[in-house]
Amino acid sequence: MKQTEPLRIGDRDYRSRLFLGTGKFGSYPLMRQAVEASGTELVTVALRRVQLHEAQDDVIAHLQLPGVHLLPNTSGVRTAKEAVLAAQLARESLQTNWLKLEIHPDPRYLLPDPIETMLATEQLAKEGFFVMAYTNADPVLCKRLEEAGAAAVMPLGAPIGTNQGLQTKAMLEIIIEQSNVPVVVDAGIGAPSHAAEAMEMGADAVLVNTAIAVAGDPVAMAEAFRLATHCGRMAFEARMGAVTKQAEASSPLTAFLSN
Amino acid sequence: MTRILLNDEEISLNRGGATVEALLKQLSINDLERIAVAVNDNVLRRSDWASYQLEENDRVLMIAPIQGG
Repeated sequence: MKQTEPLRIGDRDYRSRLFLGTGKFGSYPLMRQAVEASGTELVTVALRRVQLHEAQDDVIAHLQLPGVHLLPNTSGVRTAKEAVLAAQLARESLQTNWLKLEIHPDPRYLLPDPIETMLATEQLAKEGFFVMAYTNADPVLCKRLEEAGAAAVMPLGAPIGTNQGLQTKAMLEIIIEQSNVPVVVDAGIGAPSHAAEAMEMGADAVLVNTAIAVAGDPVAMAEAFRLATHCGRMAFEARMGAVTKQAEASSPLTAFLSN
Repeated sequence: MTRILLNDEEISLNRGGATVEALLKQLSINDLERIAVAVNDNVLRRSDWASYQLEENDRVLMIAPIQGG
């Protein structure tokens, strides 16, 4: 398959433009196989308080695959202050200064709080984190996050886990046009065609979790997403033809049956 | 006896010591490799676990990675 351009974020180059979330998989072996089938080089993990009365199980052991990096998230925090503490804990836990910043205090729609996200991005960028900021598909906010030092912006296509696809398409197009940092479409991508669509539009990468994890066959779905993401990127790099209103003939219109 | 709050749960530290390392030992928490600890919202380096002395009413937060998007 034709190689596409590598994606530079922070201090790393990614050949795969598909990032994976590790939530909701039925088992660790299934998660691991899906990660392998997806070809991803970046997977998210969450943090949780240690359950004092339960046996600890180490998800990380199941994600140690060649070329696969970890991206801890801040899911569960409600404010910038909590996010900064979570980030510092994540750095100590996983020895990485990469971070998926997500602050969504409302459990019904899990929409990111723009003000807290902005404040946390400023602080964490100063502390040397590569902040990948989960955000509303708000072009002005994405520029502000970029100015605050975000390594990438991660606008949502639709609320987390809804599989609704690119409901925010018109705004994503503006974000992609304006951004000087990579744009990773995160949340809402429910089908490989959604991933391909985002990549064709010029998104730098997509982050997928639910659509793969809850599929009937998560491993096959991971591969479908790998192909779709690659396919969409290839199409973008090959530069697609313009959309027009009137027909443009693909065959010569010179009449040959009559003059 | 020193009492602290660990993940919002009150714990009385054994006479064995009031370091973070002693606390982990007291709770029989193994698989320490991925655990991170903050005391009163300050993250401790792993290398300080053995020497950091916990004090009465300290708020200890102990986290570990799990599956998540």
